[in-house]
Amino acid sequence: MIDIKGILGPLSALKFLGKAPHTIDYPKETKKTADRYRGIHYNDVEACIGCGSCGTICENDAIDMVNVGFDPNKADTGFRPVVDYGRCCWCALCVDVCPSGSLSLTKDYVYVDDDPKKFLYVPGLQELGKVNIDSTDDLKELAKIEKENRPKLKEGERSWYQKDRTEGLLEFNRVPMKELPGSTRIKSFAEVVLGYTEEEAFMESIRCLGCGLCISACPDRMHIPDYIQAITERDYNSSANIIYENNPLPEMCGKVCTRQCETACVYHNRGDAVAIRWLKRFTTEQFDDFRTIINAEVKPLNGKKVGIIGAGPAGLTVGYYLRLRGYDVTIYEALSKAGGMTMAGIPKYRFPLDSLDKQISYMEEMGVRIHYNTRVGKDIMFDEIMDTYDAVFIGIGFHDPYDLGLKGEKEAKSGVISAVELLRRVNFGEKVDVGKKVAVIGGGNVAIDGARVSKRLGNVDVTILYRRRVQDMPADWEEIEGAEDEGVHIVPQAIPEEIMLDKNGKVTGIKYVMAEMVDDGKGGRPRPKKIEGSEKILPIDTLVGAIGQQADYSFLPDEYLFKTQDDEKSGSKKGIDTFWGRILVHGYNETTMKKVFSGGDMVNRTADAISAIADGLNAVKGIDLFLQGGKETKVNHSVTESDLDKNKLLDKHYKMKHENGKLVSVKLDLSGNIVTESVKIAKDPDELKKDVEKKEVNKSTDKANSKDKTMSYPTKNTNGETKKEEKKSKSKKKSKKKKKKK
Amino acid sequence: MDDLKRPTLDSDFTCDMAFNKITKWAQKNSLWLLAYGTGCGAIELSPTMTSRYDWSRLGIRGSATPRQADLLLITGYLSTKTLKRVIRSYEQMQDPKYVIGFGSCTINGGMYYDSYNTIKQLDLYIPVDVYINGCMPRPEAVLSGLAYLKDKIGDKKADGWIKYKQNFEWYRENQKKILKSFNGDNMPDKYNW
Amino acid sequence: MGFSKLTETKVLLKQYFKDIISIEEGGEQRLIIDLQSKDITSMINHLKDFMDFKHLSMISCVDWPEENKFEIVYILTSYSKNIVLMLKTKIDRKNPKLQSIMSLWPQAVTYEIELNEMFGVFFEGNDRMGEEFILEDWDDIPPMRRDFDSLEYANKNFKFRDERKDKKIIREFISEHYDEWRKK
Repeated sequence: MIDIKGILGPLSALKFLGKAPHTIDYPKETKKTADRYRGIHYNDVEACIGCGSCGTICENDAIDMVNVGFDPNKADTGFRPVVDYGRCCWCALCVDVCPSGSLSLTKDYVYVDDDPKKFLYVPGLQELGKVNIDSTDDLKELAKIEKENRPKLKEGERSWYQKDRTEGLLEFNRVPMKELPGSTRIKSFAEVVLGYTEEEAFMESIRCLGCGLCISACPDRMHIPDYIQAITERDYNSSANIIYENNPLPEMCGKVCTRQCETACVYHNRGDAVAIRWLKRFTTEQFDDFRTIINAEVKPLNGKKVGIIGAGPAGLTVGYYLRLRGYDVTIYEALSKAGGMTMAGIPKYRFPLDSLDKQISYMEEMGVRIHYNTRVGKDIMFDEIMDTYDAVFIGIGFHDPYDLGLKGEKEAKSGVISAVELLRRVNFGEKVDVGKKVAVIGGGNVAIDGARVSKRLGNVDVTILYRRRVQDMPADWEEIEGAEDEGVHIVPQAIPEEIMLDKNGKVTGIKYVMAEMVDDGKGGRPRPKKIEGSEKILPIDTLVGAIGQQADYSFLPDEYLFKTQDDEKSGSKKGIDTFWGRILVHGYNETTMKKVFSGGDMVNRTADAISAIADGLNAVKGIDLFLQGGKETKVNHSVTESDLDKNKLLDKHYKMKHENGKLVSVKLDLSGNIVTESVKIAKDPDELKKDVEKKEVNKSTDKANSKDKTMSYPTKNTNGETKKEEKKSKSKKKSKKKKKKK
Repeated sequence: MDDLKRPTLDSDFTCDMAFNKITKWAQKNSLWLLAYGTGCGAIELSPTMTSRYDWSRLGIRGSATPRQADLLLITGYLSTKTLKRVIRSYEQMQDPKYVIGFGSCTINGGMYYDSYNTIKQLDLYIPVDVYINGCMPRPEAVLSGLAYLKDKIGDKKADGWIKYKQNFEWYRENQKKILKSFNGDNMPDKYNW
Repeated sequence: MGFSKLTETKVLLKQYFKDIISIEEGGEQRLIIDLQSKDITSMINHLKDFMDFKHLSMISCVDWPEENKFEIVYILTSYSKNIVLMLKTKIDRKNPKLQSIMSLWPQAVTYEIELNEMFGVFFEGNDRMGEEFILEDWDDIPPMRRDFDSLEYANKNFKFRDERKDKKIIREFISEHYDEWRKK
């Protein structure tokens, strides 16, 4: 039997005759790769901010950051990733985590070379294999060429592996902060922002990549990633300690800081920045009392005395950190409460009084002495201060408002008030009658505050008149929105002309002219130009002026103060040099006069609280160097375990009181009596009552003990103390571990 | 590694230029490779050798033993145990012989950079003529690597085997650092056994 | 309706071996048995000979340096009962010794010499114990122990490319730079 099938079977292969071969004739033709195929990296070096997140997430340790010639600035470290293709496994985690969206993976994957050194590659600068980081070529030019050489994508085509906002590992939306609704909040001075809950704070804190770019933008260089990391670990204790390392008023900053850090956040360009301010606020809100939490070591007095004029953020910072370093510190404050502009100038719905008291009482108990209601130049002479103290710090701030310069302002007997004065009077509990209709002139934060405070003074109709457009307003966008929510009218491009008065000199209205914006011809911001014949009259009861403030140097004797009007002459005279109303400082914030340092609004240009604190810290270094003859005192911000032996602990907790102008160390009570457990987030009303009672008991014991005026450290108290020590050492272990991780 | 002797190819060829050209042409167009998959890249060889990409178009085919092979593919990571076998196979191959290193692992450790048991730089132990980028390289990249090697042979630049002979002591020293019991019954301390 | 095979096995095992530390169901048709190391051989013998667990799937080991113990895990399967059984026992980490089960399943030898190599567990009665399996010329502590630092070993024994010698930890690298910015 013939096997026909066996003979004919092979012939069936003939059916493929003439058909195109299955083989891909590489390299003449290439097979199309999948849409999301991951090949060689490409980095848009202009968009990259050098945060290093790609390198941190890389499992294979394949990415280094190098400086390839980009200038570091506020939101850019100047570093760019270098990928080692002897490590990379094309997992694209670096692309998933890239917050600026600059890194992507192209579909090119073919690269062959005989030199293994060439597999180190700066994406986006040159082709793979050609890169020489050390070359002197203009790298920006190379980047441009590289970008042009990249194949252009057609619309809708997706040939690169790149993550947009909705994909990837990052969450670009911040956890929203709960606020009181506008209609409710104008009824009282209750705090508008409600704060994060523990869970919300956790969710917000895990968004932080920990790159630390924010530090570069913060005037005070706070350790932002560290304290956010501590919140993620739910270790609020060490979070507070990290914050206190260079900010003695964290709760104030947590509520009203201008948060320049958030503009430098890696998320800022493509989404919402991490809510750094709210997270700091959250940490500080966890504690009712900082005394038990902050581990900073207070050095015993070293015999040097420092006088501080003005208990604003700058003055308090200098006071706190100099006290830590063992100086005898005295602050003179003209008002009856400390805090400076943060006390007098910030409305209580943004920054409640309790918060400030909590921080200042901690400082006072630590040994910072504050003389209230003592105006230098009136109650005490500047010369006297200069004679008494080894160094003097001036931080008087800007409290004097500028005149509006309007017709009728001088003649007006009532109805014209500056926003600063209005805020001060309201904050100190005075009753202010602003009538039924109020106009505010100005567009800064003070103007908005003035308007919002006026709104809360009763059923008041408030209008803001501003020369330029709303988008030109220097005030925070949030504040403007808040004001609008509360029903404040904003009239932009309105130039006030004249204040209308009645026979008694009372304000009845304001005349203003509408303006159009014209180019100033120099490329600067547009100027308002009056439109002829557009005068309008707004009937008002009170006019609030908020066009800026200045410092009051009247306390300085004439021989100390010099006004320099241009840079060339400055620094030429002995005494305190000023320039356009600001005190001139150098290096460590020292003025042109020996042993006088200065900081705060009347020194820096940003004029906000955090800059004042930064000035204060700088001056602390300067004063310390000056008084120690060039040697800086070592500061121990979080006491380590080895320091935790009992004697040191006792040192740490002595309590200062001032009596008859002298600083006296009072016998302190280290036992469980003084120190209350304040780690709990919310307290029962009953517990609160108990705390108050305890405090009162302490006060009475203090009084009893204050009779002996010599320094006396407490003897060991057996109960309660050991427990506390254990607790402390635990928290320290934690923070130590954390440091190791880094 | 930079202080290694640079080999000179011409000294190994005593014949005249014409014959020289013919041998090079023949060598580069009939690369027989040792079918020995050492790492995960061996899986990329199946599509490269079969009809989809069909590397026999380039004159490449597998050989039965190291003694017939011209080309050794190190397809990715190389554990120290495999390294011993690789050295043995490589030294048995007849001159001229070439090595291609696949992917990240052969360059600087790749994703196994922290492994206790894989070598990190292949060219410390055997000379590498071509590296292919990838983890792992796709068949196109493999073919590019092979084409690159062919060009290199044609240009008389594929001189790894001479480098190995001339710097034999240096390579042996590196190998001994990893393979601690090198001088055993299986691993004699001489070349081409 | 009678008991399911799983419950039946559970009850039977509890009856035979009073010393079992715990026996629980670890999912569908899965039993996890925790027992003392002295019982492990007799238990496996009994399971194979009388309860029809004919298949040894694998032997594995977990390192618990915190407790100073090794946990040896045997996974057995019964095809007739359709049950996967996980036998766990903890042995001292300093002197890890256990009876070999190579007389029951010859393939257990491979698992045992691998565990010996990777964890340093010694199986008595295994005549190939101490043979090199994967690691040749190994001279450090067994690499699968958790106190073995793989990266440190790699840095010590292998060479990485010089081009990245000055590589730094990126976060530190950046924070060093802040100090430069701080100088106004």
